[in-house]
Amino acid sequence: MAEPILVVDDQRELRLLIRLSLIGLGRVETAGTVAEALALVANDRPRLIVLDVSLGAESGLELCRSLKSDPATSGIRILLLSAYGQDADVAAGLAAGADRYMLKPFSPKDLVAAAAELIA
Amino acid sequence: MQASLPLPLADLERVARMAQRLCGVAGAGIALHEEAGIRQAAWIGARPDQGRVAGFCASLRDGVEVAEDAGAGGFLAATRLPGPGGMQVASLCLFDPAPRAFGDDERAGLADLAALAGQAFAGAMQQRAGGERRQRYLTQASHELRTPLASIVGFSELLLKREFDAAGRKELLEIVHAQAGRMLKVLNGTFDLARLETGGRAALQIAATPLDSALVQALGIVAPLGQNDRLRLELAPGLAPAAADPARLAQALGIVLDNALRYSPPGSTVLVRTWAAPGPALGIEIHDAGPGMAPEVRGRLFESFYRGPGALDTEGTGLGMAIFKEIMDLHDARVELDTTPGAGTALTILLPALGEHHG
Repeated sequence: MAEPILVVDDQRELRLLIRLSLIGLGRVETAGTVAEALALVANDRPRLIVLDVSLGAESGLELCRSLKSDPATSGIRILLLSAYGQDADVAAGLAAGADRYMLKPFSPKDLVAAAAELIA
Repeated sequence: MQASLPLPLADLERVARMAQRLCGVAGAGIALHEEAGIRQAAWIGARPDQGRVAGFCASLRDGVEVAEDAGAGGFLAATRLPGPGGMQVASLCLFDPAPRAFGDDERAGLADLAALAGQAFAGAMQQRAGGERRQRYLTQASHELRTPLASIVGFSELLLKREFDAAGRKELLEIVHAQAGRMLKVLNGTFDLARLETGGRAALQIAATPLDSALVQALGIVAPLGQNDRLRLELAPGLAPAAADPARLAQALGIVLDNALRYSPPGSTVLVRTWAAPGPALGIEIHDAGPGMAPEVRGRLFESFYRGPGALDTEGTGLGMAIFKEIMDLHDARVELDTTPGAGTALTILLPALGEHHG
């Protein structure tokens, strides 16, 4: 089976929205916490992670940084999603190694286009 | 760190100009004493060299001090004033190449001007803190609105562009509807808090408010939770009325009761107790058997949009306790929190009673 796309968001509704949006690109797995995400990364290496910047008390930004700084996982493309849209937030996301930064709310069509580009 | 206070401040320059004119000297300014050295926060007219200001100002005590030794570099006079940070000191300095003495009137005038400069520092700090707070609040409010909006925009686009069966369509529409409701809640809370902050105490309808009737109203507010049977009321009889806005007091009590019921185990009791306190004041305690709060949560409890860990699946906006605190502050009420992780939370309010305040 092909490598999945992993969606990491602490909000159930957003996980569903992103999964439904990207389902045309292949298998989509979802995680609500950093621990769930790490387990999925270890067992079922994804080709793309769509990652929310803030996961409740946990930080998606931190997860992005640690995945990108580990040679074993640095090749995984990461699309950060965030409801924070200040320039400094975008810069922090890109500094954490994200391949792309998208602001909430987003159009599913745009999300699909960005994800397709990253895994092409 | 107050290094980023924007200098020079116009108000300080005005004070310097007034000092220069009052004493008829060549130059006047305000020096800020920082760890790294002396910084000129404002200066008008002729300047002494920086090293002399530093050496002189560092040895300042209270009152106006004059370095009469003059020498080739002219004289310096200065008086201490409170700087922008709590620990910081600043000085109002005068400089002139020609030596001269200072009369009592001039010294008194300088002391007044130094006090004005101190106020200008305090005002600038307050303004900056207010600006930063507003910016943080706006960023957070925008985040809280964008999050439900993401569901509304996203799911509605999917519904318009893709085919779903009836059950799927209904499920997505329910999410859109719920998230729109959440947005409305955030908007209402945001505006309510802004209304309280800008209106201040003058916007409250303070009246003789019996505590019992405010509590009855608060019980009505939380009744939709269907948990009022968990409340145990121990209300002191014959209490003096509170000096309070009845609707706002009921709203504030409703917020605390709502939190106490929501965050404590199903079936556990929430105790509501009232008593007459010195002041005269009215004591209200709301005690739950919930999980209690860690110091970090407790410290941020009244912050706008802050939601404690474990709040993920509830419907709160994170504005309730901020609104509660604002209402309490406007009523000059004291709020105390006794909470330990694992041991429940007791929130105590001391609310001023009506009358007798000024004898």
